[in-house]
Amino acid sequence: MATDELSGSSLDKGRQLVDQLNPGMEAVLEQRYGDIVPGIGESIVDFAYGQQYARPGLDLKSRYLATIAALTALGGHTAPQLKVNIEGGLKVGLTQQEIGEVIWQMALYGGFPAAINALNSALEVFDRHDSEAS
Amino acid sequence: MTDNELFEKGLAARKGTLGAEYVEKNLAAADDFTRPFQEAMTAWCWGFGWGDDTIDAKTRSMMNLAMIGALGKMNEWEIHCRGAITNGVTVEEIRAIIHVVGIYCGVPQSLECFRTARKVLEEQDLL
Repeated sequence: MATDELSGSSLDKGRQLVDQLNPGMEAVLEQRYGDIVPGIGESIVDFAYGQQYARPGLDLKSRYLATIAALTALGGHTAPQLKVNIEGGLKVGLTQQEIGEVIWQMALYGGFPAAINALNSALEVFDRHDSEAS
Repeated sequence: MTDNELFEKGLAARKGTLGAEYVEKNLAAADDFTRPFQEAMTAWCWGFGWGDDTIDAKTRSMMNLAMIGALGKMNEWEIHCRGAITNGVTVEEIRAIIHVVGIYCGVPQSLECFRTARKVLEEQDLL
């Protein structure tokens, strides 16, 4: 998947990306959080996907590696977001080994507990993928 | 134990680790804004916590360097690094504690501790 195929406004580009990476996400976010934060789904699609991930200059695999590294170093409290981004990383073509390596490198920067917690999150995602594939 | 007894016990423990001069300066500098906390902290942290001799002062200093190092509160780490030396923690032991901070909290955090420890140890001609 290449971001230079995306077109239109940042919201359009964000929606095109989300359709490929995380279909239905905008509606799910709106349904869950929309009562207290109206427009949250559109905001995330527009800002995170349309204005950040869709930018030129860095391919999506590298972007997902960076996100996985940052969430790992932040520690265990970001496990739900980490799992979502590991899913995304697999979809854009990262291998399980590449994801494991970047998490393990973060033991240096975030400490061993943060890296081990992240490896456990990755294993959960990988197990789910492997069982869906078989 | 009355509140006042706990405060006096804490004051003695606090001076024993951090030095009478430092503690008296701190209490004298307290104003209406900070005095209630200074007094409560002296009674509670130092009287109730440090005042319990189940764990000796040297071990407590080592625990503090590990905990405060993990939290990354480097101003307090520096104060407790001086206290640790007063309580008999050696340069080699401080180094070993910083290594553990690196393992559990990451290399950048251990480098912060080394930087602060070097400042304190050089001040005291221990490096």
